[in-house]
Amino acid sequence: MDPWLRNAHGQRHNLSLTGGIDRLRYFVSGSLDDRDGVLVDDEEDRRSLRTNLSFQATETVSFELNSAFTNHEFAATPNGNALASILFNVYRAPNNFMGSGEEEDINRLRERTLDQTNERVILGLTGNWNPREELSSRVTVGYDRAAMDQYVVEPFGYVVTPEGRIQSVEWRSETLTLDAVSSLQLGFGPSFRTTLSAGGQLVRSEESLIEAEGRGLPGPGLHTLSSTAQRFVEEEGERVNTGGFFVQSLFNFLDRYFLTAGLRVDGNSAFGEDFGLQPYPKLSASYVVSDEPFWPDAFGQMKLRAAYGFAGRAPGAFDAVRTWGANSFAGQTAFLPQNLGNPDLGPERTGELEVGFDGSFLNDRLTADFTYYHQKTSDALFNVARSPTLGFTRSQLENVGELTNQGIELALNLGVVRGRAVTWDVGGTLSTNRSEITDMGGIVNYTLVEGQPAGVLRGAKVTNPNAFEDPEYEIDAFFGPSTPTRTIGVNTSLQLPRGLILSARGEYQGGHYVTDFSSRLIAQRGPIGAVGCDHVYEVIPWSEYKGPGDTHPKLDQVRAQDRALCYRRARSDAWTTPADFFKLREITAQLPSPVNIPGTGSTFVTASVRNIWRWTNSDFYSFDPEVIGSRTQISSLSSSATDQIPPPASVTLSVRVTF
Amino acid sequence: MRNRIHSFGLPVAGLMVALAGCDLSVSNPGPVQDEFLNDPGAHPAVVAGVRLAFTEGLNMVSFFGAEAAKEYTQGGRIHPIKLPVKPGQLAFEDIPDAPWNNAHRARWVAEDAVRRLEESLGGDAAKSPLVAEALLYAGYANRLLGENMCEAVLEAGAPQKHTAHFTRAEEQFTRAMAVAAAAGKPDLATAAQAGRASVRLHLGKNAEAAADAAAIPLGFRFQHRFGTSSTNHYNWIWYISSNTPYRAHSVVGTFFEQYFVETGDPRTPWKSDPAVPNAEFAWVKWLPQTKYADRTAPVTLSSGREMVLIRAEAVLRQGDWRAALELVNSLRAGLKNVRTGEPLPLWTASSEAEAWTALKRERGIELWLEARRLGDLRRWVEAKTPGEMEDVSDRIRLCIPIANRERQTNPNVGLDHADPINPLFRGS
Repeated sequence: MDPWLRNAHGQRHNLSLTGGIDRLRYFVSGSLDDRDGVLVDDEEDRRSLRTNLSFQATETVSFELNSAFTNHEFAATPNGNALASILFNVYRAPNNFMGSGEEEDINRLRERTLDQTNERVILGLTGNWNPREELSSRVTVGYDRAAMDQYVVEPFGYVVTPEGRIQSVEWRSETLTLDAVSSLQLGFGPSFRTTLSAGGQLVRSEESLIEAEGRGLPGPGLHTLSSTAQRFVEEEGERVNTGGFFVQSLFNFLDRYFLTAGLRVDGNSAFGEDFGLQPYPKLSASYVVSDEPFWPDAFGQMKLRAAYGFAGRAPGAFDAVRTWGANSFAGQTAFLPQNLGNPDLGPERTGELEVGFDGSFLNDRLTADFTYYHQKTSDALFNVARSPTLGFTRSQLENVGELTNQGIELALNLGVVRGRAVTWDVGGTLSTNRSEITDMGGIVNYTLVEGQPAGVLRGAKVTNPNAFEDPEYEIDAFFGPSTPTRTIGVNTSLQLPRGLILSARGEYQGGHYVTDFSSRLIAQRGPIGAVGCDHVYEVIPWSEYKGPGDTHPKLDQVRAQDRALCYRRARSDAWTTPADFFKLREITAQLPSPVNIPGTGSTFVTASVRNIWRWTNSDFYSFDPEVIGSRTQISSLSSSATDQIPPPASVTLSVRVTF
Repeated sequence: MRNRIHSFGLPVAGLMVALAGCDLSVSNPGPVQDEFLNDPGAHPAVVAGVRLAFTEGLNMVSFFGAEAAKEYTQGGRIHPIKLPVKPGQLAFEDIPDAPWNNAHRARWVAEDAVRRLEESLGGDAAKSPLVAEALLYAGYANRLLGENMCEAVLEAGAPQKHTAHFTRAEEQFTRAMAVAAAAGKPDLATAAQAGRASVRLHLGKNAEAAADAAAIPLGFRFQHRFGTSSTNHYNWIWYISSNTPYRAHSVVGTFFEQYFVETGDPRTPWKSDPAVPNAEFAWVKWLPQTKYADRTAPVTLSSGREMVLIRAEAVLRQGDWRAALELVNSLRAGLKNVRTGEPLPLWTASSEAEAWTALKRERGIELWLEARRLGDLRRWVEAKTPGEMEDVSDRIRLCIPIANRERQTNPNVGLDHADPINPLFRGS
C-alpha cells in the first residue's frame, strides 16, 4: 500500500470570544480545520461557528439564543469493499480487477473523484419566565437542519466503467422541536420540600433523498449529468410528527433523602392503531448516607441511589405498512415487494433497575462511582427474516419477545500524589454487559436465539483448534456476542513543576467476536493469502495447501484452526474470531509557554500522539477489530472486519493563547 | 397559590393546545401501499413487476446453474460456488441465498399478481391479457425453480420433491393458454403450451408433452427481455462474463470450448482476446461466451426448436432411437459453421445409447446458458438414461440446495435438513 498511503498533515485554528454589555452576554467561537488523509487523495476542510447570546429582558423574563453552523467538505480516495477501491485491488493483486498490482495500473483507479459537502445548522431559542423564586417555566424552540451533497465522477475511459459515470446525491434532514417545562417548588416546613415539574415536547422531522446517476459520457472532458446517455433518478422522503408530555415530582427530606416519581407519555402515529399513547413511569431514590450522624467523617462522602423506570423505542414510521417499491424496468413502472408490514406493530418497552453509589474518600483523593443495571425488554423490536418463499425478501420489524441486559459500571480515580508542585492521578473504568434473549415468541431466527446474546455470531466452529490434524467442525455453532462484554479504561495524569502536564489513556475491549471478511476474501482470492496466515505459509506456501484432506508432508505442523481458514476454499462461516484488543488511545504533554507573550493572558503548548500501539487477540487474523460493519440497532447487529483503512496513528501539536 | 398554579400551567397548557392542534400524521412518498395495487390503473405495473421479479430470479439462477452444470467455468470473484470438501458436511454450502430468494420471489410475485388481478377484475380476468401474462410467468417461475432447486418449498411449508413446481407450472400454463386465447393473445397462448410441454417432460408425461410440442411451430420463440435501469436488470450471463466489471466466467475446460472450435456452431459462440488473456482469477483463461452480445440480449424461454427435442426425447423413451436421432439432426441440418460456412456435422448413432448421447449433447447446445441444463442433467441421472454427457461425478448435487435463509427462518425445514445428493457423486 506504500504508494497510496502517506504521512498526512493537518492544521486547525480556533478563536473564541466571550463578554457582555449590560443585560446581554455573548459567546462566539469559530474554527477552521484543514487536513489531508492518509490515503493519497483524501483531504478535508471543516469550518464551524458557534454563538450563544443571553438577554435578561426583565427581572422575571430572559432569553437565550444559541446557534451552531458547520461546513465540512472532503474528497475521498476510492476505498472500501468496492470494485474501484484502491485497498481492495492492491490486496487482491494480481487477481484483481486490472489483473495487475503495478503502481501505474492501480493509479488508474484514482481517476474517480468523490467530493462531498456536509452542512449543519442548529438554532435554539429559549424563553425563561421565573415570576417567583419557587416557580420557573421554560419554552424552547429548536431547529436542526443537516444537508449532504455528494458528487462522484468516473470519467470517460475509467478502468471500472469505461463509458463513464456521474452520480449525484442530495440528502436533507430538518427537525423542528417545541419543548415546554414548568417547575414549582413547594415547602412544607423547614425539612421537607417538593419540586413539581410538568412539560411536553413536539417534534416534527422531515427527511428527503434524491439520488441521480448518469452513465455513458460523450467523451473525455468535464461533463454534467445532462450529458450522459442514460439517466436514473431515485427519490425518497418521509415526514413524521411525534409528541409527548411528562409530570414529575421530586421530594426532598432533610437534603438527605430524595425521592422522584414521574410519568412520561409518548404518542407516535407509527405505533399502530392498537397502541396510541404509551405511558412510561419511573421512580428513583437517593440517600446521602454520609450525612447521617452515625457516619464517621473519616469514611468520607457516600450517596446511595436506586432507580426503576420504563422507556420505549418506537418502530419506524412505516414498518407497520405493507408496501411495494416502484421500479423502472424496460420503460415501464414495475412493482416489487418491499416491506411485508405488520399492523399490530408497537413500541418495545424496557424496564430498568439501577442501583449504585457515588463516594469520595481519603479527603477526596479517592472517588468511586458504581452502578449495577438490569434491563428487561419486552415486545423487543427485532428485524426478523422471513422465509423467502413468502415473497418478501426484506426482514420485517417485529415485536418478538423478551431480552435481558445487565452489567456494572465502575469508575475509580486515585490521587496518588497531591503535592504543591507535583500531582499524580490514576483512574480506571470497568464496564460489563451481558445480554440474553429469554423469549423469541416462537419465531425462528438464526442470530436471535433464546439463551444466547442478542446478535450472536454463528457459523462453523472448529472444535479441535489446537490439534495438529484436520479440523472438525460444529456447524451452526454459537461463537459469542458481536459487541464487547467488557471494557476497561485506564488513564493517568501527572502534573509537574512549571505547569507541565503529562497524561495517557488506554482502553481494552473484549469478550466479543468479529467475522473477518477481509482476511477470508484475501485467503480466497489474493495471491499471497491472508496476513494472519503467514505463519502457516511459512510452513506450506499458500498455493500448495489445498485444505483439509490435503496430504502435504509438512501438514502435521499446522493446527486445525489454521487448516480450516488458510486456504482458498475455506468456509466463509468459519472466519469468525475473537476480537479482544487493547489500544493506547492517547499520550499528551501540555506545557505553558516559557516565554511571556506581551498582551496575552496565558499560552499553552500541547503535544498528543494517538493510536500508536495496539494489542489484539492472537486468533484475530488481520485488520483493526474496530473497523467493523455498522451497528445501527440491536436487531441488525453485524460485526465484520471490512476493507477499510484503520484509524491512523497521529501526532498533534497545539498552541492555545488566551487574551 | 392559585396564581402560582396558573403560572405553572400556562406554558404546559400552551403546549397541550399545540399538541392537540398538531397533525401527528406521517407521510412517506415513495413506497406504494398494498391496496393501491388493486386499482386497475396499477395492473400494468403489477405485471411489469412480475417480469422484473422473473428477471432477477432468472439472472441469479442462470449464472449459478450454468456453473454447476458445467456450461462455463468460474473465473472470477463474484459469488463463487464452493462445494463442501467433505461429503458429510451437507448442512451448509457456500452458495449465496440469492438464487433461491430471487427465484422464489419471482414465483410469489407472479402468483400474487394472478390472485390480485382475478380479485380485482372478477369475470373479466378470464379474458385479460395481463392475467394471461402473469399466469405464463408464474408457470415459467415454477419451471425455473423445479429445474434448478433441489427441493420445493412453498409458502414456508415443508420441503417437497422438486417436481411439485412442475405440477404447479403445468396448471398455470394450462390456465394461461385459455386466458391468452380468450384475450386474443396467440403468442402468449403458444408460449404457455410450449412451457407446458417442457414441464410435462419433467413429469414423465411423455405423450402429453410430445402432443403439446407438436403443436408449436418450429420458428416460434418466446423470449424474456431485460432492462437497463439497474445492473440487476441486465442479462447477467452477459454481464458477469464480460470484461467489465467481472470477467467472472469462461468456457475454458467445458465441452463448449472444444465443440465450438471444431464445429463453429452458431448457437455456442465464444471468443478470446489476446489483450485480456485471463479472467479475474489469473489462473483461468478468459474465453467469454458471445451468445449474449449485450446487456439486454433476450433469453429464450420456449422455442419451436426445443419442442423438437422434447418430441425426440419422448420417442427415445419409447425406444425408437432412429426417429429420435432424425428429429435431433433436423435441428442441425439448417445450421452452418460461423467460420467456414460449412454445414454442421450431423450426429451419428448405431444404438439407443448413442442416440441418447446425441440428444443430451443437442439439448445442451440448443439451450446453452438458458438456465435449463441443471434440470436436464438431474432428470437424466435420476432416470438412469443411457448415453454420455458431461462428467458430473464431482458435483455433490445437481441442483441448488435450500438456501441458508430458508433453513434459518422456516421451522419446517430447519438447519439440519439434508439436501438430496447426486447419485453419481464420488467426491470433489
